[in-house]
Amino acid sequence: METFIRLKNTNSFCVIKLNDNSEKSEEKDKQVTQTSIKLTFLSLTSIDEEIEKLLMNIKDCISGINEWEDGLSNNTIKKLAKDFELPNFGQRDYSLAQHFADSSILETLITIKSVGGLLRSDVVNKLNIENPNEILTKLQKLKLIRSEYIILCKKTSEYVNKAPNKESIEAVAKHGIRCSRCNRLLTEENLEEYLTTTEEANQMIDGSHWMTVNLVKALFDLDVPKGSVLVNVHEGYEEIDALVGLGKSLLLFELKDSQFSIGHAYAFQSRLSLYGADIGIIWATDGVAPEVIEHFNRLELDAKIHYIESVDSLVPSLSKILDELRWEIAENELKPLLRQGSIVINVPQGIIQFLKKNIRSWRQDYKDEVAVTQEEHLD
Amino acid sequence: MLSEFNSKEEIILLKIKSYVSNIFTEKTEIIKENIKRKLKELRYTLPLEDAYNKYLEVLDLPKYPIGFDDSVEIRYFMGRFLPPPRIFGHEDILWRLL
Repeated sequence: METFIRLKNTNSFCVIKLNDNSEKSEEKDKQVTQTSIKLTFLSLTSIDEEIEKLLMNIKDCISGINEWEDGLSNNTIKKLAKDFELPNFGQRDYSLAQHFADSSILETLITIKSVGGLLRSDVVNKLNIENPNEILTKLQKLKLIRSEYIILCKKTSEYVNKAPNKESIEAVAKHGIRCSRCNRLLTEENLEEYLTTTEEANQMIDGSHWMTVNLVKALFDLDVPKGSVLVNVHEGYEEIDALVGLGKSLLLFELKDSQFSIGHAYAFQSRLSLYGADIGIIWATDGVAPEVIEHFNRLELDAKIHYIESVDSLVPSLSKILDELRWEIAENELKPLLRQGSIVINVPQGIIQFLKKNIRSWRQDYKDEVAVTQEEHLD
Repeated sequence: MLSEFNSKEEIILLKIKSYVSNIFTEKTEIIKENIKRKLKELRYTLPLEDAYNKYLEVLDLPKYPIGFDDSVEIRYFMGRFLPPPRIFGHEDILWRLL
């Protein structure tokens, strides 16, 4: 049995559903029924305060409610959450990961990391990006790159020494320490800034972790409950970048900081069927190869595939996918109200009632008539 | 930039939250009545019940006691056949949210 109320916050509704489960259990010599109480809230604005108040009041008026559980939780996520951790990123992670969405920043960091370190002059000359010095200053401020100084012999151009800052080189030179190749004081040699990526930057780059962090932030910003998201799920040889459970639907994400090619498609396809995902979402920074789209179109998979083909389109595309899914969930949650939404006129029962009522009055009339007749006879 | 799209104000999405609790009870009817009483105490209206009562009023029929919002059955013979009126069907709720 179910009903709905309109909440005090405009454009918000709550569907209340009571469900008697068929399983019965014996408790204190009495036969008791397990009843589930479900409250589903639909709104366009945040109504957390009103939800909390209602849940508290309903909990108070019914004995036996210990706690409220998520009514839209997905069974696969619930099962996997026992073995895998839910994403637990900090504010610093979210803030840093956003900067990786800038291709100039990402390219600079990947270039520096790939060779273990680079001279500032080499970065500026090699990278084909606008305002490289600005980018490098920004990366230093964000503590994504670290500077050291390298002393290069003026005569041989050989790398002589490395120091954490200019001051320490000056301090060493004061003690008369000279270049072993050309005998010049170290302060007289060429000094170059040497850049390396920090541990934080490396963590973000490895396995495209920055994409995972950005995806999680986007999901949470789009009001996906925290307990519905799992990231980096490793099972056997399989590794899933992210799994999201919304209602009965399971969304499987594949993240690529390059183009998603046909080679990736086969592995993705096997993961989709292995987990029985309803929706597969490929987010690739350099797009998806046309043959992949053709391949998935030809297969007619059970899962619906969505493609997010750039960094910038993550949030708009994701919001579209989630919105579509939420309206589907809303339809399902409201479906039970359909049978309450119409008044059934019980015509057959009405005819019976009509006849029974008339029988009674007819009998009374008959009795009255008989009584009158008898009285007439007596007269 | 990703951050440009991350502003919540730009995207209005339908929000759905659902909470469930399982309890053992002797009678579901009591829960039903308790919830109904609490909702009225908190000044919420039950549109289905209101609409049902209004419908009976229009037809000049006495109010028939109904439990939650269910068993909306008019056990009266109208003298003529009336089409079952649909009140606040779920499509209407979705329409209002849109």
